[in-house]
Amino acid sequence: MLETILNKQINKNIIEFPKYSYIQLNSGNEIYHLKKDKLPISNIKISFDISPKFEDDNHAGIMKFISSLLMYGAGEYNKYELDDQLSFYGITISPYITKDKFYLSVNTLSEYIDKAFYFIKLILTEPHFDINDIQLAKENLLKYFEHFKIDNNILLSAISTLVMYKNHKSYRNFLQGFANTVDKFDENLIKNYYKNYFTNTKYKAVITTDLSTLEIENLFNKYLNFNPNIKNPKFDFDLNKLRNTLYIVHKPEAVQADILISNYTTPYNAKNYFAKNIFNRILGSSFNSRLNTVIREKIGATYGISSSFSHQIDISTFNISTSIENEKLNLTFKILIDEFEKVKKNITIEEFEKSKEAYYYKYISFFDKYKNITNYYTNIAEYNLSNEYIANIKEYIFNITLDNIYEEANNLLNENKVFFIVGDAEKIKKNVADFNFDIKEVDREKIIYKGMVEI
Amino acid sequence: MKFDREFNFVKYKLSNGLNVILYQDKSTPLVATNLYYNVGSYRDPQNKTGIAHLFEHLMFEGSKNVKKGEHFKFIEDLGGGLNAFTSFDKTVYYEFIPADYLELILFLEADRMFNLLDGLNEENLKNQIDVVYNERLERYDNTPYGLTFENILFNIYPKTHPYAHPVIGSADDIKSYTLNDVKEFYQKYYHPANASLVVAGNFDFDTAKKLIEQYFDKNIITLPSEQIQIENIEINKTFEKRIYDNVQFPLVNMTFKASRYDERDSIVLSMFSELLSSYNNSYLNKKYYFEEQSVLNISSYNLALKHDGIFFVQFLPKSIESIDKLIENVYTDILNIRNNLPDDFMLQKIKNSNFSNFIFSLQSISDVANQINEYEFYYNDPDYFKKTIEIYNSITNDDIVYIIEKYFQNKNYFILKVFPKSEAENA
Repeated sequence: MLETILNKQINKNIIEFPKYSYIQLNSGNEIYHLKKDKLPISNIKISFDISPKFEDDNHAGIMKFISSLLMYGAGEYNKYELDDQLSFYGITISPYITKDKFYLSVNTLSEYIDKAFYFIKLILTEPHFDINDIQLAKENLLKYFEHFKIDNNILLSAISTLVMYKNHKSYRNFLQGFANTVDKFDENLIKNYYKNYFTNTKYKAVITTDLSTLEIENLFNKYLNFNPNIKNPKFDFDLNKLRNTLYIVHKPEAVQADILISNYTTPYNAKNYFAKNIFNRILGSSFNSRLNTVIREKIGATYGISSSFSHQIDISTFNISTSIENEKLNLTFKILIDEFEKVKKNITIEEFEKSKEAYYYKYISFFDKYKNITNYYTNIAEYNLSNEYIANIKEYIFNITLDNIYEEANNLLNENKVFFIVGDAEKIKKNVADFNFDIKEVDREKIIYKGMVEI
Repeated sequence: MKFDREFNFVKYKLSNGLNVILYQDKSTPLVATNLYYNVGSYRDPQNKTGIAHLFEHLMFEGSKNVKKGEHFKFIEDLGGGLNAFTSFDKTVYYEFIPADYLELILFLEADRMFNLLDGLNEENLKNQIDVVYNERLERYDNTPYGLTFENILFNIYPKTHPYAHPVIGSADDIKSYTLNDVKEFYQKYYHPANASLVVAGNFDFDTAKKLIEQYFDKNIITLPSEQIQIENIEINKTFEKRIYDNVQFPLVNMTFKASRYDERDSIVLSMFSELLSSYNNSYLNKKYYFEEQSVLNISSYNLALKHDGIFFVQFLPKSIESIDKLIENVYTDILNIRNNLPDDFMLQKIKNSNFSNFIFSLQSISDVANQINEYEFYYNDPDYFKKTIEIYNSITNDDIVYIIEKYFQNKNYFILKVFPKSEAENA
């Protein structure tokens, strides 16, 4: 019975990749419009060329700090009124920053889209930067640094940033900065950075909406017709290649070890994008991937283990993360290292073919939500990928060979991968003693407060 | 703001008692299923806390016709998705898949509803006990403030009360489950008459009905479940407890008794929570975060359950010395809202914001399927979408005064103070 059901042929043409309409405004800014009529809503993501790349090292974290202050009053509205107005119209505007971009993510009912654009313009061009709000945000952030040193995820993120991006001027600092850089933030510094970088920058916007291309073009021309004149700096950098290195951040009394294994990979728009993602599906991106099957479903050492890519414009990484109970740490390392070797040479044709299909069919649910479409096409826009590229995705995927997958396995799991662990250092060292790691113990106070790590 | 879309449901029961709701949406190439079992952690036996949650794991470990790991594999290989969650009141299994494969999901769900025990063995049980134990370590024991919620439950409910323990259970109980415990629990609660199945998305009604009948319309041997008398617990004084944990700042939680999910009061309390802390201009947020600057963060939350409800106000004070004064002031400010009620704009803002969120929530067919079953579970009405909005829109300041007087006026609340371990020496 089950076999009959499973043997049903799936229609490979069932997946419809949305096509975008492209608009270049007179200002040079670019709009990608995706029409979806299911609901009367609009989801917008505007990405600006604003990021920590403009920060002086002494001011690490200032771009993120400024982006967090933008919602604290703009134009004729103070921070209470602005929030009230947005809520009254059911509009959400979320600013956030990454290593490469500053984003505004916006959700609105389409009947209030004109209002939404009005508020976006106000937030970007007339933020208040009230001295009291600056002071409060700074004091609170400095206080939170105390919490960061016991937050395992933040510690892993901080240490891996410092090590993996060590030689890249823009990426090497933690996004929120460090206690000793935040301490220097003041009103003048904030206003100067804002004036120099937030008002003159090029943007690309992706919008998924039931409204027409013309209506959208008119809105951008009416409200966001900025003229960009800042040129993006380019950085020379080397990858920080380390062999067999394990960084331990000691956290006393930790009952689990939080692990991150990281290696460099190619950018989002590289030719091997689909091959490495199919390999990742085999290794660790799904419930029935190899790592989850063994580390969770066989030895029960974790609640979950997964792997994923983190793509930046200049440097991208491949990351495996999990939390392991201390007692099973040694066994987990043995199995992990064994699995890494096995997957470099031992993938069955069936596993390969199924993974390829599964990866392709995943797109079927990708475009259910407006926000998913917007996010996906933001990558397409940022990497200048065409409608033709999208139309060929199926072909790219099904042309991949097993040799391509082995090549990815050997690259992503080569000797340059770096291990990071947050946990009880003595227990960790005892459990990894068999594996000849070059162990470096790192002081969490120094990471969080000063961004210092012995490499 | 208006939304006049009709939700056309077909709702019926099979002869074995399985509740079925079909919701067709041809705008998607997917079908989604959502299966509610009327069993949550409130059904956990004494000394076996967390066993309802364990099923959320065991149900993916194989059944008569499906080997361990295959359930994940079959769905994910077709680009679908699946998972489950457990709460105090229910355990929910949800999946989605390309529409052509509706039969596969129904087969898999039925096989584990009727034949789970054929796939269950000591090895699988031991494995999932270890996984759940690690889940507990990761999400509770090894996380800052991870023990806060369970300490509230321990203190406001008597030890034997069904809501007196966290859904995940205690570490000792998790390690103690046996095959017999699991079999007994399954036979009591995992059967058609204790479940509600929603099928949503791109399907044909006749085909779906036939498949549901084919796979689900059969009987299973069950054990009678105990009638649980859920005692209505009152908090009738102010009392407090301190715990010491691996945290950097103290945390204060004030817990009030609130209303059950299916009562109108619970919707008013949710709105009241937004008035207190969801916006810059909310009463507590404005005063304590922005003006006094005495807290790092302040929030409130209305937790409405099938048989009870609790309402939290929680904050991170900036100084330990100010804690008692802050508690007193926050409480007084909540009462004083009666004399400083929100204006029409403030109420309308919250109503509009909730309306927009309602529309945004209709994007994914899986989310809609879950909402249908949630309304069915708590209100016995899958089409409660519009009624929820109607209730929200009908709320006035009279309701706000009413709930303040009913739930907050008598100074009956529990205070949990979570301190850094370093403070234990000063205690």
